[in-house]
Amino acid sequence: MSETENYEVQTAVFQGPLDLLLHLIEKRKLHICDISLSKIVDDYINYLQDLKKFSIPSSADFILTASILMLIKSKSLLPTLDLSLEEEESIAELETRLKEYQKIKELSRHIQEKFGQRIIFARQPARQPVAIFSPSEDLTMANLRLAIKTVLQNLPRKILTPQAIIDKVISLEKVIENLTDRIKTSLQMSFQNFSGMNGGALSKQEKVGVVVSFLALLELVKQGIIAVNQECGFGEIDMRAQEMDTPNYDSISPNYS
Amino acid sequence: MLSLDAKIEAILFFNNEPLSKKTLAKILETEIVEIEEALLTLEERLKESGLVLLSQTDKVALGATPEMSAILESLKKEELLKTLGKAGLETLSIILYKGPISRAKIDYIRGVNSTFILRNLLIRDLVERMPNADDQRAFLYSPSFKLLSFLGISKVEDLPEYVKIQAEVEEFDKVAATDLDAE
Repeated sequence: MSETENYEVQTAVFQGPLDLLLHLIEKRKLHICDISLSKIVDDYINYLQDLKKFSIPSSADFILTASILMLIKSKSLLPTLDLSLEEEESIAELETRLKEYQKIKELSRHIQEKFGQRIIFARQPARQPVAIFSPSEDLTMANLRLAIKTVLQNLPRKILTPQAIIDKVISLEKVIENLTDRIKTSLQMSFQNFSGMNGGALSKQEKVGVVVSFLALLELVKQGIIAVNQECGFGEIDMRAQEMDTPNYDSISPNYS
Repeated sequence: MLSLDAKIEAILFFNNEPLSKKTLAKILETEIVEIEEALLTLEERLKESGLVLLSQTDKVALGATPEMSAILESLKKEELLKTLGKAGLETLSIILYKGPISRAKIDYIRGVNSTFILRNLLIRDLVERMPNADDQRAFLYSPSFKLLSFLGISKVEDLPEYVKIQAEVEEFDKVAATDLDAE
C-alpha cells in the first residue's frame, strides 16, 4: 500500500452517531453485530477526538453512543465482565437501531432512483384568480383602533427566567474510570479457580493442568501483567490484574533470559 | 345513466385538487364502500388511458400518466426542483415506507434531530402532517400527493419492497405487543 492510500483526510461530516457507525462498519465491509461494533470502537473514538467543531445538541448523542460502544468492547475483551440488564438492553438496542437505519438507507436508493424521473402531472389551474379590492363594511377607523389596542394588550410579556449553571452530571473520563475499576475487579481471582483445582484428589491429567497453570501464572507475573499474593504457606494464591492501560498493539514477546 | 366511476371521474377532473372518499360519498349521495368499489373500477379503466388515479390516505386525485412525463415537463414554464439532499432522502424514505409517523420516531430511526428537514419538506409540499389522535401535540407525517407525483407512483403500495416492509413492521409490532403482555 502506498503512502497516499494510507493517509485519509477527514472530510465527511456525519449527521449523527448512527450515520457515523454505519459508515465505519460498511467501510470495513462488516455485518452489524457485537464483534464488528467492538472492532470499530477505536475508529469511532478517534473520529470524535479529531472533530474540531462540536455542536452541543448532537454531541450528547455521539457521546451516549460512545459509552455503549465502550461497554461492547469491554465485554468482548472480557467475557466474564458482568453487565447490568440495562447495559445489555442498551447494547441490543444499538444493534437493532443500526440494522433499521441500514435498511432505510437501502430503501432510500429506490426513492433516489425514482425521484423526479417520471412525474405524474396534475391539471394546471385554468387561469390565475384576479384580485380585486373589496373591503368589508366594518373596516372603520374606530374598529381599527380597537383592534390594535387588543393586539397590544395581548402581546406576550417578557418573563425573565432565572439563569442557572448546569453542572456536569458525570464526565466521560469518570465513566471510563468506573469501567476500568469494574474490569480490574472482575480480573481478580484465586489460583484455585484459575487452574481448576476444586479440592480433593487430582488425577494425573489434572495435576499436569495445575502445573501448566502455575507456569502460566509465573509468566504473567514476570511480564508484570498480574500481581500475586499468598497469605501463608500453601495457602490460597490471589491473582490480580495490574494497571490497565490503553491497548498496545506492539507484540509482547517474552524474553527468556 | 352514468356509472358511479364515471361520475367520480368527472368530479375529480373538474376539481383538480385531491378529494376525500367521504366528500365524494356526500356529493354523490352514496356510501363510502360504493365509492371505493367505483374507484377500483375507475383505476382499472384508466389503465389504457392517458390518466392515472392517485391515492393517499383517504384522498384521491387524477393525474397524467408518468409515461408522458418528459413531454409534459417541456410544456411547463418553470423548471422543477428535482434534487434531494441526504437528509431529505432518508427522511422521505422513512415517511414513505413507515408513514404516517411522528417526528420522534423519525429522529429515533435516523439518530438525528429531524425538525429542520421536516420543515423544509413541508414547505416543498413533499410531506403533509396531521394531528396525532393519541397525542395532540405530536403530528404524524405522511407523503403528500406531490411526492407521489414526483416519484411517478399512484400510491405508496407501488413502491419497491413496500409489501415486504409493511409485513416486517406488523411482525415487529406484534412481537412488541406480546412482549408487553408477557410483562
